[in-house]
Amino acid sequence: MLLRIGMVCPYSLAVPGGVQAHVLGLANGLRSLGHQVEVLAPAVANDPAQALPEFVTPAGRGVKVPYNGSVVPLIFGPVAANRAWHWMHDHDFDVLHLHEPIAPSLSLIALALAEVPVVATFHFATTRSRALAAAQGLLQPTMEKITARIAVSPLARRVHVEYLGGDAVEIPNGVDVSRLSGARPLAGYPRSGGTVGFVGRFGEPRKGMPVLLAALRTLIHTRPDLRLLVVGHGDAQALLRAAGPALASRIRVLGPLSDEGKAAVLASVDVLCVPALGGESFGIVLTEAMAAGTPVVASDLDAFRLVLDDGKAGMLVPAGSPDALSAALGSLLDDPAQRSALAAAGRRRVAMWDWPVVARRVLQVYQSAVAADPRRLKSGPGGARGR
Amino acid sequence: MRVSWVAVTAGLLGAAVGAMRAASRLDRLHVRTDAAWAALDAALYRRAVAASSLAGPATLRRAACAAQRVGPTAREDAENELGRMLAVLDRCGLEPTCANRLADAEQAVVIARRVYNDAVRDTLALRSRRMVRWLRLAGTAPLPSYFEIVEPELPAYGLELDGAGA
Repeated sequence: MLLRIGMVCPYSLAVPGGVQAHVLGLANGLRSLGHQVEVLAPAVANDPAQALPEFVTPAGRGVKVPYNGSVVPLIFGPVAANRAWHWMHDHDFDVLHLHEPIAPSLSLIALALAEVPVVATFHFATTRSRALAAAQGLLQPTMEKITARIAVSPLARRVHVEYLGGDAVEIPNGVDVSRLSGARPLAGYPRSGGTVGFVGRFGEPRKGMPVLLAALRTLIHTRPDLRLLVVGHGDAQALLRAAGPALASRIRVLGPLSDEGKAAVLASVDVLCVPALGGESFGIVLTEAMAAGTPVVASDLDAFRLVLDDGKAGMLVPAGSPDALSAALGSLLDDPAQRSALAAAGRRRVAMWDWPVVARRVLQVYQSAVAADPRRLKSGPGGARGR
Repeated sequence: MRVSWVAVTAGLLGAAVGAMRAASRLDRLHVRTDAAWAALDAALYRRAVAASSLAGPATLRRAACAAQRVGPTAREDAENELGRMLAVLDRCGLEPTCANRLADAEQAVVIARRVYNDAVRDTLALRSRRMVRWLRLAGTAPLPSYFEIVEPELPAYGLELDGAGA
């Protein structure tokens, strides 16, 4: 059964972000399966700086609001409500899919106006319990309109169960395999001499950059041309100081990059290193590297172990051990055959996070929500299960 | 004197509006719970049909047939029995179409059960409120109950936490 799906993204599409990427990836995945998907999101119509996919309806400019420790562009108010109402009535959806409907956002407006079964996806594992609990009482009558809930990680699900009440089906983030596998490397790459990549907030200790720096200090004795490419937010000067004079000249900090830029870096490096020390619930960068065909060396955290199929789709090293990390990186950098074997295993593994595959799982939730639509109950209440 | 009458009238009016809103909310929740039960009932039936059409052991077919016929009171036990049989079923020998249909039906049961239990949770939360109990806003609607069965282990994806809760 093909469905008409209305998806609402609460955050402005003008700003890159995990939720925005998820919404567009899922919408494309569902469309590739033949379903009709329309997206309502904060965006400005006919903005020359930002070409929107034809299935996106702009709901206006986002307002920057501090939320959960960062500033996110949200949108709400009577104008947005009016647009949301018209969007729903113009398209006559079978199911509405709202992302992150807990913030004061477009998603919450759409929820309040919804007349069809609603599926809600909770992305963040926010533990701001007091704010959530306070809002919960006021929002409860609206939240009761949600038919089925999805959490993108075990942590998001746990937070959801503990603070919001209600259970959720766990469906991970997808990854855009076709885009990543077709990305072109940066000019001058891949180069000889060995290139290691790091993607993430390199200033955060739990991301493990100090371990990688220590490992590289050992490796440069025997590999004079070794280079490290770093993508992500953080203080580049502090990183270069921490690296020390011998290593600093071999580090290129590229800063935060767009999805295209990140894909190009993944296509450029010989090995991606993910030395995180803990607190990871999934590791989307692992799946991105696997999709790009880049071999991965990662800490042996439980989440990474599962993503990397217990070490079969990427190398696992003890978390926090520079010696083990330098040994693993060294052996991979010296062995092209092993690199291509790991890359091939990674490509096979990542197929289960490809958006069309993830979209099929989301589709099952849509179908369950449609099946539980009260309008299908012809006999009305009373005919169902008693005690 | 007049002021206190105004206050009492306003208070009563406010309480009446609140009670009416709670009553209509409760009505919506009961309808949602009933619809979710109908969907769960259908999903369970689909799983039992998929299981009974398999070329599996006779005990599995018996459990599948029992699950299709059982009354509401013994439903959880019958579905658990079927779930246990399916958990130990060797799926490698199954015909791919049958195996896929079964896996789909099992996944649908997991989702439908969460959808139903969510509806029950919201309904029970509102029905436990003092105003709802004292004014008997739920009328004669029976108190819904959770549907508790052991969830099947679904293949792959089940990514657990690595301990640290960042």
